[in-house]
Amino acid sequence: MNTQSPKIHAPANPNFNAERPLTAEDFKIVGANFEAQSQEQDKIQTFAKKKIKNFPYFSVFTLCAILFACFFSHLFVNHDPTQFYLTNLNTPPDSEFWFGTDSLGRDIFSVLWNGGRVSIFIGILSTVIAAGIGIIYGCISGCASTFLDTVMMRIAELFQSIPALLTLLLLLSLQAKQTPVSISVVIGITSWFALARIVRAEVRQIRNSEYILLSRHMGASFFWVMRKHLIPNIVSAIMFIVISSISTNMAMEATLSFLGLGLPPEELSLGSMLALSNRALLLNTWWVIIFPGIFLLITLFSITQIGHIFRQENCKGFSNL
Amino acid sequence: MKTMCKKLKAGFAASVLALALMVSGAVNAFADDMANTLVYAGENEDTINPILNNHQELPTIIFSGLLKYDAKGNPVPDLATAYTYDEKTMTYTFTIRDNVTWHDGKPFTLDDIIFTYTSLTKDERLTASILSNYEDIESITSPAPWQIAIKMKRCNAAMLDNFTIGIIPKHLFEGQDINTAPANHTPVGTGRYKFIEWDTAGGMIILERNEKYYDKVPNIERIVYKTVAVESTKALMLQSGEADLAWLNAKYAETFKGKAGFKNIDFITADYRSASMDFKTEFWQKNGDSIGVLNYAVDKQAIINSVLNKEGVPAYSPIQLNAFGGNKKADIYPYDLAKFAAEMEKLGWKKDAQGIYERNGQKFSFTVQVRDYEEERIDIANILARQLKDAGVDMRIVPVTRFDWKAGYNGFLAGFAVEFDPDGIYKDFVTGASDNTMHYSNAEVDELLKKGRATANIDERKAIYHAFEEAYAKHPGHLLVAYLHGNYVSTDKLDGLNTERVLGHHAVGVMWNIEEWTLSK
Repeated sequence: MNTQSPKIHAPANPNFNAERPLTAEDFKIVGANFEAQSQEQDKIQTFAKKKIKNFPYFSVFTLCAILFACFFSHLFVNHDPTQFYLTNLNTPPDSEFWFGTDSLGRDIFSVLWNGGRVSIFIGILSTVIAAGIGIIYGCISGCASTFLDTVMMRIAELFQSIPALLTLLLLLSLQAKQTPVSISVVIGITSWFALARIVRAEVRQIRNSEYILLSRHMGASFFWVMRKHLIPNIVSAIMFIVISSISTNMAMEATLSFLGLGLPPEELSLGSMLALSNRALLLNTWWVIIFPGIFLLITLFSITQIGHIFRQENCKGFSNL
Repeated sequence: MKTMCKKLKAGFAASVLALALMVSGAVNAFADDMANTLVYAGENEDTINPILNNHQELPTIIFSGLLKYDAKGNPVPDLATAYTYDEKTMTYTFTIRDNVTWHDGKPFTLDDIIFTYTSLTKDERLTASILSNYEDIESITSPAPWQIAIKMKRCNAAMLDNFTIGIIPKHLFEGQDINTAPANHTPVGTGRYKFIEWDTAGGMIILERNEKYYDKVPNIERIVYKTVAVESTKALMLQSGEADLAWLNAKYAETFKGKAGFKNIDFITADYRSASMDFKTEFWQKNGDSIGVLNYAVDKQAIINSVLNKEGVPAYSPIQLNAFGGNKKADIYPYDLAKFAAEMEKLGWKKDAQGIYERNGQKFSFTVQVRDYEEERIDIANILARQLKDAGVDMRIVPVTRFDWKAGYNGFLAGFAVEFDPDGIYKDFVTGASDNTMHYSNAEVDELLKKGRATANIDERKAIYHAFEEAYAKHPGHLLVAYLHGNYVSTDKLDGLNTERVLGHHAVGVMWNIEEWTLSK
């Protein structure tokens, strides 16, 4: 291995004037590591370029636009989303009702943004709940003794093996009335198992690191260690699953509402709009299905794409992703 | 070797031929089976017992009563061949057929009749909604062979209607709690069709015609009754040919009009929809005076035009379409929001900052439960809630799979019908009556309904029931919305349905002349 440092030569410039102060242009790097250093710089530039190139502009832009439109829909919708326009039943899309009306005269365009807001809210809140439970459970299990860890993981696996829809139906049947918050709670507490297992595996790897051992010996509490050391180290690993949970939970809400187990009839979400599809098929009102369907598809696609980028970031080894 | 091969080939060919013949035979047999099998997409059934399920279709064709209803809804002899009434002793005497057997082969006897009526009047365990109809019976005896005498405590003008109740077999129910007896799931009757099988997993009940029926044996050999709760599923089943007949909501029925292969059969019904308020709950105990006024805030015609596809009429009385009802003087609440506001003010209600009425610190906010699979009721409730909200009343809809009477909801989106004698209303509105689950109580209504029951003269009865309509309209327990038409859709291969009969709740009663129906699939 050549350990010689690069030598600095005065440039062989015929106009060299010893009295003129030297500038950067007067020097060039030479030596054994010259090529390697140049490649390193190229790599950094390529990585940055790749990162910029791979950034899901379309998905982020679409999602931001959808979020903005959903939460500020009152600024641009042309009808009251809760009103029944009883003289305009099953109207196809036209200049007044841009996406048409359903069999009760509700304006699909206005309801869509309102319903989208409810669905996105449920998707995010249920993910926050699931992430909260999953991370804490996973950290406890990861730091626990082998016996307790085994018990906790078997419990998580046991619940994970039960189809989520069954558990959801059971829990929903115990509630008298569904609200966006109650549905989010139910979805949240039935969807944290996979996350807990990933967190536990990550924590298991780092739990004996010097900085964690030191913190614990210095008397740091479990939650302090979790907050300061564990979560910052596992956040990149779980980011993909957390983000894709939003779309999974939105789809779950849509399923529940489709089955008639979701929100009350006066509170429309994307799922309850799609639940009208049977009726729309019978009444030949395609617009009642198509627009909410496309909306849901685009939203879920955008969220999944963003989650996908986090996954690529996290998988630094060989991968075809 | 060649001979052996030939033999093998011949054997194989013969086997294939035999198999093909067997399969085609089976297919033909199946096709023959289905050719005279009516597949009916009907309501959900929990039990099949005429005492417990008095407004469902199957009990009316599996069981038979002393009397039955004719096309015009008048009671005529059935198991009884004739009857007399002695006004002095207030005793009905029936002459009973002596050639009737139960579907399980056991002979039908007078003991079965005595057992049925004794259960209706004396069995304290029995909790049926129709019990109030039989409270005037004093005794049931058999004065002579094949004769039954039913002595009344007092005159009851509706009693002939009540004698249409199906007779249940003593040998299967004696000593048991009728509410939970196993025979409710394997019914044995004396009617036109006999029960064969209840496939609970597949959601179907199979019936076969009673070849030993004492009157006209039906033309259609078999009925497959598919229990389908969801309205859109019924429509899809008809479309796909999976069902031959179904009662559909007006919007779905409309989609079949003019479609090749289908027939729309529109009946008149006495079936109305309303928000029925529960007076057990504290809210209505305090605010029961403010139910009638809600009618001013509801545009009933708009609900009919939209949800019911114009297939209905605005409701103002619970016996409006009955022969004894329809008093226009009871129609006292036009759709008038200004009048609503004025009347609310008179009642002491004031709007709060959110625009919802408030009185004595209590908001005008109540819950109404609706069965989640009944699309039409959900739609009615949705629009009703919106119209009331616009007027300043907060009606909250709670979708439920089964009505929960103990959950404390303030009411339910109800359906009722009084298609025969107006006394059918007695059990629903008289204080403490057997079907008055909403605990409605109004002394004037009680008096009029009792008087109506006890009055034989038709004109006098009409006047009494007209007075009832007016009295009820002033202090109603329901927010009446609309009367529905009974829109049935069938395959065009089904004939014989007769629309002369006014149908009941959920358009029940369509099979009143099923023995005349023909199917040519």
